[in-house]
Amino acid sequence: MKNPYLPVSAEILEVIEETPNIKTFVLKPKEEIPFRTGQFMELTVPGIGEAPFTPSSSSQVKEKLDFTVMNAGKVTSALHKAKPSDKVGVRGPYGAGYPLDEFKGREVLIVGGGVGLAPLRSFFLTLIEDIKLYQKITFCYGARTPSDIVYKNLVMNEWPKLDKKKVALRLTVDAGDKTWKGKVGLVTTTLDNLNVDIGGSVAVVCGPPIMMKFTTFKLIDLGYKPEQIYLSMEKNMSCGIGKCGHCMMGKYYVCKDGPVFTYDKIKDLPAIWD
Amino acid sequence: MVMHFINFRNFNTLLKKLLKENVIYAPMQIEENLYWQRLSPDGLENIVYGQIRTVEPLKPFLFHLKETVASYPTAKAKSKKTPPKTIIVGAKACDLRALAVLDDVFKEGDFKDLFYIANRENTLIISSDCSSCGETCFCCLVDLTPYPATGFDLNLSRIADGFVLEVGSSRGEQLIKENEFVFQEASSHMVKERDDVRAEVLNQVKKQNEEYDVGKSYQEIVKNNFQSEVWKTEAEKCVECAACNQVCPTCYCFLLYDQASGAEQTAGYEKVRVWDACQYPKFSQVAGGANPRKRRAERLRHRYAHKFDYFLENFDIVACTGCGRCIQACPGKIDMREVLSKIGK
Repeated sequence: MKNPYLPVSAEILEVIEETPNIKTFVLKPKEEIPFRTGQFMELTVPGIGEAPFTPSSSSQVKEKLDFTVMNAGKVTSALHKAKPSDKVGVRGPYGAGYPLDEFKGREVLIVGGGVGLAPLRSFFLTLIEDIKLYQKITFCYGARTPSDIVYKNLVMNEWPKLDKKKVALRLTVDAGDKTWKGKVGLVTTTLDNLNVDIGGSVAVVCGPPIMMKFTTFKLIDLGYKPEQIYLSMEKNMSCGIGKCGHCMMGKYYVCKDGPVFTYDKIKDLPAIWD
Repeated sequence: MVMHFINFRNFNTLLKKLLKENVIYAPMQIEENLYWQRLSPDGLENIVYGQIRTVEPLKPFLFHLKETVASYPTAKAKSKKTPPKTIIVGAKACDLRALAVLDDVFKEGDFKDLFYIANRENTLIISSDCSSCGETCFCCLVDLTPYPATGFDLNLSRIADGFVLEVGSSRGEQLIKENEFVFQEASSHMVKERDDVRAEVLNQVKKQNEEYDVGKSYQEIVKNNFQSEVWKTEAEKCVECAACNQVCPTCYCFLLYDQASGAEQTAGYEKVRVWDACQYPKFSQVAGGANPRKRRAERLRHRYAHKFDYFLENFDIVACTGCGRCIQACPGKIDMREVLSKIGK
């Protein structure tokens, strides 16, 4: 039997500075860790601690894993000091991930906020690898300021080149600057005048709790049913294996039963946005 | 099923023999309470078979208070010393129910806890009937009896000359076979004596808890009264010490932390698991600062909802054994029975 607490050693191949407080770490684990997009892993900074992150790379890429991490607490600040060739530990994957089979043949609306783009990047990359399986993808993303946009090259240069019949991008910032020529406004404003067949689509949302809350309310106003809205819940996932109790949300262990939930499953539980 | 009988003298002889190859723990009296104590060959008369459950739960024998669960980057060489085989004598029905709960958490599902499983396999359980009812006992309110029906390897029921002994597992059966000479078949007379005592003790527990029984299941009470004001008024008494979590035989939440592993020459680290408690204010807080259970009332309610509703939904068993340890331990005198009957009324 395998010890579920034992991390696999991984070497940091590259550190990419995405924004002033967000970095992407490209890891090469000692053994391949296959995952389904939306599943998460626990990253161990040796001797410091571990924290949960969803890989931001495509689940089709086997030999490397990307993790995009905001500097927020003890583990993430230690991680931000790490350099290429440093070693970390990886446990997982955990949770259920996105049910891609249920999305096939439908339109997919993606709404991301801030560092919430990390799991959505993995999701989006996985979708566009097999784009013919989906009707259309509408990708809305908001960051606080232009400098807070993660994956700038992808978001600003690469993804806009994709077939516009299949992929529509909508980008906004809460507050612009001198160089910003795009849209200014909260991410919920990108949901105005949507060109989406709401009944035949699913909405996949990831971002800070407050952003997910208001995005969900807006989607409901637009006519989405709670069971069409897929949310990534941010709770204190520690063991990752549905035992330690920290991430409990009602009867669910977010680590095991989530982290992606459709809104109908959780809307009546207490304090889901806290 | 064949019931066995063993007299006191023979049972002591058996324990002495078992002590040669096992470490044995049994309830012993210290002042007015019972505690798990390690048995020595000259201390057999200190074992308290009857009365009620011990102050401490059984869980630390199987789910250690603190344990290194992983060493990295390279696994530490396993120590050659295998832990001694352990026998628990005198566990009560509530203790056994708690093990069924812990088994669901640590032995079942996609991820199995090797540490718990190893300890469980290494431990033989010889339970015994309660002979009285403690002030905080309420097993009858969670559909248990003060005598075990299942979950033991062997169970002892004290009668005048010795014990009526019931076999609950193949390991228990094996032990009987290996020591056939000390057992005899229990007569119907003996079994009746046992059943009379059992009925009497069950009656005591029921009588003591009559006032708390509001005729609804605890799951119903918790589920249908999520917004009750009682959560708030009761939580006012909570001092956030988490004693209820610590003494609870079924509370299994834990914390993982990482540290450098000792005085070794090569750089190495370990992941350590310690008991944690949902009643601590920051138990559910994330690094970003969000905390879904900021208030004491939310945490108290979560503990009850977990035991009586969530666990039942997830595993089809109530995660409370009615042992009353949390009531006994609470400095704020929060009484689970009282809370639930107040809410359910």
